[in-house]
Amino acid sequence: MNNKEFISKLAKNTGFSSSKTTADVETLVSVMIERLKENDQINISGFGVFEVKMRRERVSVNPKTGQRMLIPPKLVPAFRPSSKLKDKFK
Amino acid sequence: MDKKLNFTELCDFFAKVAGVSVADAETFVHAFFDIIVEGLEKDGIVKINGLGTFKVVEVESRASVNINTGERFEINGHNRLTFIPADSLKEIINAPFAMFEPVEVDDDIDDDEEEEEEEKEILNEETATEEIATIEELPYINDSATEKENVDETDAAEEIVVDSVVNIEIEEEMPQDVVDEKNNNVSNVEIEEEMPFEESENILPENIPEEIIEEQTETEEIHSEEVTINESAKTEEPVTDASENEKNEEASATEISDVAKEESKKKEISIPEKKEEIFFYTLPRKKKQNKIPKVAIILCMIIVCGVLAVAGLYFYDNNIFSTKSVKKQTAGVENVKTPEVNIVSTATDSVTAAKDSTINIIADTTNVAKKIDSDTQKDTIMQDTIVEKTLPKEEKPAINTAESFKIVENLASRELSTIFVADTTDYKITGTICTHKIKSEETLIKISLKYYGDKRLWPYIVKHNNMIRPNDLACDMLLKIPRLTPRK
Repeated sequence: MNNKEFISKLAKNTGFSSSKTTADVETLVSVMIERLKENDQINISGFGVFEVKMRRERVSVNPKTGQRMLIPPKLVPAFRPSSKLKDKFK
Repeated sequence: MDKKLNFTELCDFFAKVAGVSVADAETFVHAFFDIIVEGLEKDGIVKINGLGTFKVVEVESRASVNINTGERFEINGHNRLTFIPADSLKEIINAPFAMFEPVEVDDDIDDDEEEEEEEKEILNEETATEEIATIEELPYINDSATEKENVDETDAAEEIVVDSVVNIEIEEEMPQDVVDEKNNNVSNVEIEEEMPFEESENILPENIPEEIIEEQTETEEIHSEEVTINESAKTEEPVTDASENEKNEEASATEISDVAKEESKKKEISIPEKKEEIFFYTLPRKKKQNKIPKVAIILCMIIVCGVLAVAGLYFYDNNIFSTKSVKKQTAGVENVKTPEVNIVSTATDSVTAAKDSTINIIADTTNVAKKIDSDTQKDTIMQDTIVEKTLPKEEKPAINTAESFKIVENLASRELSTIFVADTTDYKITGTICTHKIKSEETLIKISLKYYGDKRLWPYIVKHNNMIRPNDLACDMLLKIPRLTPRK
């Protein structure tokens, strides 16, 4: 299911037009991103948790050249499915 | 900031941004996530622009171990829901750390230092992000903040460079230390190498004196041996000369054979001593080193005893068998050197019965003395061995030699004292009693004991049978047993 199908389905379920649904989805995603940027956790019961994780810096070695690289720390968006959802797809 | 937003809070934010009622927002958000679940159930993959992709991924069954019990078990294959954030989302989220790029690391930087540097960097970055957060509304200051970040970065880089330089310097210093350590090691090794050498040097002087002492004792003994050999040679020369002059070759043969016998006896006596020496050989090394001196001492004693026995036998035979040889003997007895022999020769020249008897008495006494000597020698040898056992090793040789000399002196004095003791066991051969067939394990002494009741009279048998080699007795050999009548 791609974005198009997703929006059409959502429009069908909510009864809104597809254009409005697309705008609403974009706003919802932007709100979520904003919240994540604020380093918030978005906990949606029955679905999962969106959060930002920090990957610490590390030294990686290029196996071909043996060159050691210092990989800088990184902030990564992450989704943790709820146990209910996990069980559903297990 | 760092809050846990639940569904309703998210809906509140959404309602605020979208400008719709909270109820509508809730229904919309609820529908949003429901459809994601539906799509996952249906296709296993849901792609939302700007957010990312939700995906159901198969996980193969794999073996695992129970941490607590250590049991192996298999995790069954299952599906797992994964979320792959969109690149745009990643970039937005990672914006605070976006300015970092992978840096090539010198191999020499210690991990601890790196971590410290990076922590500093992180601190700087966090402050930077705070500044960014505040500065997004104030673009001018934002630039300065980024400049600050850059400055921080450059500082960090400089720090890295400095640290690396320091490390390099440390490394440059290290080899010297290593070299020093190596030198120390080398010097230690050299010292260790020298130590055994010194020890060996220390050991050698300890060994050398002992060896020298041994050599000295050996040489002393050799000297003594040589002396005794010379003595024996001196004493034997007159014997042989005299016998040649007297043409008593048979008698001399008997003498020599007798001497050989006695020596062999003494050697037999010395065998147990050698066993004792073997016992010494098994003892530690220092006792082994006394082997040669002891053997030399024993040889010395045997030679001395042999010389005495030869001297005794010479007189004995010279007197006993003088009756035959007297007439053959010429007047010139120039070769005879010892005074006793001169006396004997003059006595034989005169051929007077009285003198004969006295000389025979002397001869007999010398014979007796000789036997006593042999007995006492046995005793003394035993004593010597005992003394050698008890005495400390280094004092042994000198004391033994001294003792041996004392013994020789004692024997000589005893001989002199016994020469003039009267003895009646002097006989003439006046015919043959019978012939004797030698049985196995019979000796001339036994035969003498059998026929005369005296084991000292066996030389008469030898004389009567004209035996050249009295030791070579064979079984079933016939011997004429002489009839002996006292000379009185």
